Amino acid sequence: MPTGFGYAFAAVAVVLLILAIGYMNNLLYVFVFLLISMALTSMLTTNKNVELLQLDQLSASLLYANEKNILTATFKNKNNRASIWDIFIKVRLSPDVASQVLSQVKPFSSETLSIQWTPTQRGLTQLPRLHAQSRFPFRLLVAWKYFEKDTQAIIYPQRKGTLSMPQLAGPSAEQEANALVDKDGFFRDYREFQRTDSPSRIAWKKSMKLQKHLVKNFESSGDKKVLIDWATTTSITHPEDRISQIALWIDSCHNTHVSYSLKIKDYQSPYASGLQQYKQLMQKLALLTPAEYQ
Amino acid sequence: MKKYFFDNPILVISLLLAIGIASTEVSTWISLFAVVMILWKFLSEKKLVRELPKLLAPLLGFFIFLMVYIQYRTLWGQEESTTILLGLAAITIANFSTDRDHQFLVLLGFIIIMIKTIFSIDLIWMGPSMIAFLGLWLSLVTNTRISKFKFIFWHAVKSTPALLLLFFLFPRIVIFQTSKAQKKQAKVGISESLNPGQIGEIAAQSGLAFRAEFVTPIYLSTNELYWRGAVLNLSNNLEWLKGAVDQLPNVRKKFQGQKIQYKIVAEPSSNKIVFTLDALTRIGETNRRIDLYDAGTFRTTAGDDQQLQYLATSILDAPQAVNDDPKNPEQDYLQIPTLPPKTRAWIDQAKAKHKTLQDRLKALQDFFINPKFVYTLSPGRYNDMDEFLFSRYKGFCEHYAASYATMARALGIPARVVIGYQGGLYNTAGGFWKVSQKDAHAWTEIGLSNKWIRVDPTQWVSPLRLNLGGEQFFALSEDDQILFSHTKNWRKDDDLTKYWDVATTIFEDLNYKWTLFLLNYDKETQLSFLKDLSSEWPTAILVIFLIAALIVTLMRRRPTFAGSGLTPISKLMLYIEFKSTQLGIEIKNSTTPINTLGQLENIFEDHNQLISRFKHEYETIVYEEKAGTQPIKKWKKEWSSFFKEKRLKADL
Repeated sequence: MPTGFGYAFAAVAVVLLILAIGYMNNLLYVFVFLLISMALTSMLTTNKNVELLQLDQLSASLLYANEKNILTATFKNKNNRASIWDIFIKVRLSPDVASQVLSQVKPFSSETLSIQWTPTQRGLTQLPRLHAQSRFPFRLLVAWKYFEKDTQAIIYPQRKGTLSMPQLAGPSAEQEANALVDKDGFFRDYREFQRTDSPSRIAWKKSMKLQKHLVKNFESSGDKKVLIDWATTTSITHPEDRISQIALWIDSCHNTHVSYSLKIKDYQSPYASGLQQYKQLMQKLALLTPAEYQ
Repeated sequence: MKKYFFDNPILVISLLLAIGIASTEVSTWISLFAVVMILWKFLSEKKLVRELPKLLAPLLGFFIFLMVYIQYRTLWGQEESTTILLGLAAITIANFSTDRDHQFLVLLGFIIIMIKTIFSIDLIWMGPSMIAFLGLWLSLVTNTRISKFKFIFWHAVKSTPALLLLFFLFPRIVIFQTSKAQKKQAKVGISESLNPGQIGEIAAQSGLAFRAEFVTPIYLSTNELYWRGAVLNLSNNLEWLKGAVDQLPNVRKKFQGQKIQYKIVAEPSSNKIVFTLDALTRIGETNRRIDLYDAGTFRTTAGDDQQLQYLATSILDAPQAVNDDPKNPEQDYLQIPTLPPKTRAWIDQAKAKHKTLQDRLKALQDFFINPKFVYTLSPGRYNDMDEFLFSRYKGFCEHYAASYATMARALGIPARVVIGYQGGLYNTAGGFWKVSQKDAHAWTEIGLSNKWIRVDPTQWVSPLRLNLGGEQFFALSEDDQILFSHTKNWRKDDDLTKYWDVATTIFEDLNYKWTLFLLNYDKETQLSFLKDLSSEWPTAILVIFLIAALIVTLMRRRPTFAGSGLTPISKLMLYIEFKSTQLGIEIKNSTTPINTLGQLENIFEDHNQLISRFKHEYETIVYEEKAGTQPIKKWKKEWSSFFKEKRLKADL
């Protein structure tokens, strides 16, 4: 398809062709036809440039609904002669997101891009279609292509709500209720600040030294256990917001390395910590149906 | 993001070139305006002056339109529109800040380059026009990694088949004739009157008048070539006018003698004069209408921006009969004005002394064979015949022709002044004569024994001018022109001019062929070409097939040379890296080939032998620059089966 510039170019070419006809000037014909044939050749070049590009791999680690996630896409150029130039890639139908640029993919080579994606719903879903477009070489025409991988991914709920957990009634609740128990443990190492961390936890001295935001990691004391109970979110009216609040607490517990459990109605997971527990519980939330929480 | 004009040198150079080419056709003020705008932009981008306020752009645009209207009294026309386009380009450059400005300038640049072709189809403009044209395209390519010049070269090459097809097959339809506004300043050339200094002014120019190619094989020297244009009948001493000119029926004249046929391709001119040699018997094969007028002169209906070509036939040494002319020789060719006193006295004395026409002619000739007379392009501004003949003695051809003809008439000999071109520069490469404005000349014809005899007084003053032709003669210094003017054949020669002459001769030949090609490919030629093509259909199919094959081959070429500089072993290495990544091995861009192979050695221990052998081979060929142990094709085969096996395993 022609771009805006392409349409203007076509208008100029038509006017010049009319001039050449009017003046019966063969040199003008030469230039006009060179102009037109250069544009025709660029049409083929633009098309071929996009056509050669292939999506090799599309993957993501952890994906959250309504949050900016990063997909890792590997594109390859199977052609052994031509390089691919100036391809703009982004997730289809994401007008607010800036495209990532593949400025060159050499023959027989691959390039990897990190592409931003914000899914709108939790649950099991297919990875999005990627939209690749190119105006190479002269920006007269735009050619595009969609890439789709038949890969399904679990979108975890959005992590949203308050960090502090409500106090639960009962003798053991006091012991379990505080999600930010980490400071009671022993210092283990530093890690990068994450959006679910409270800014007050930033280790400023170390952060200044390394020029990035760091927070301290503590060894969780074995006896610190947190129960994240669906029942504690009754003050939140919308079920999706309740799920988001639970997801935030799980995320917080995971970041602080405490042992935690999730309780929704009759379901309760065993107490544990680590990535497996995190993924298991987040997956539970991602696939949670109304029947399970009502 | 704000864009800076001078950050894109290709755009700057191409646009300046396009503006420079077009500015030769318009008034100086617009060129100065463009220079000021570009300079302002340069200084503002260097933060030395403030940016031109955006609000000023429409005001400047209005100023340009106003100036054009004041100068031309219209906005419609070639010069007018070129001036407006140049102004718009200059204003856009001054306000350049976005990608859209860049694109607008590119489109303007294309239009400016193409408008130039309406003014001139001369090959000399093709080089800079093509550079500017391709440069504008190139400026649109933003990728910094691409090899831009190679890219645009190959892009143009790939576009050539389509260009050829379009050029030869696009019907040369004549829907309408674009209105051609009369040029406010006529092109330099011969006109139908003669004032002292007028021919000199033309001869000071270097533009091309016409090219002449003899179809009949004949050797003619420069001093034999008198290209007649207009014949002037009315004398006013040093000034001559054409008088009333009658159009005659185009009758084929009959002369006795050797026929010579020649083709003339004349540059556009506003005066409609057709140039031919003496004793023209036939004129034809012309692209515009040509009519015969009295005194053996011709006029054309070609517009002042159209080139004219025709085939003429003349007879050598066959002077025109005086009574062929509808004018009365006694009345029309003996008319004289009141002569100035010194001239009158000389005439009276000569008349008293010499009774026969022959004696009087001899006396007139002797009068001009006077070493005091100097042939010069810059005799000074005067038009008094006495001053020229008896005190200054400095004149150009028109002074000598005008005074000779007036004096001849005063002596009772019918005479007229002819203006046209004399000589030319023979192009040895193309076998044609290039007649330039420098060859502009005036001479006389006298009526003797019912024949018009050519008499050129310049031959007594500066024979060298007639023998060399204007272009070579005026290439001499003014001192040399005077010093060597009476020499028959002389030319300063050195190696440099020899090489220069060879180069200009070849270029002129190309330029002539180019002009002929552009002029001749019209509707009729196209139809005959297509007719020939259809009658020769097997050849036509073959040609179409070859063009299609050429297009496919060119399109299969990579758009750049990303790997063209690679040796076969480096290409194989690229293949190995690519196939390895397909197997899930991460190979960083920064990893050297040897390290990559080392990495593969560690991963594929079972195929260590192939990898280590190839590693050694790579080192031998690339680093030690020695011959390998086996052909690369064999290596490729080994690696291909290696990856096939690995792929199978991975699938399992």
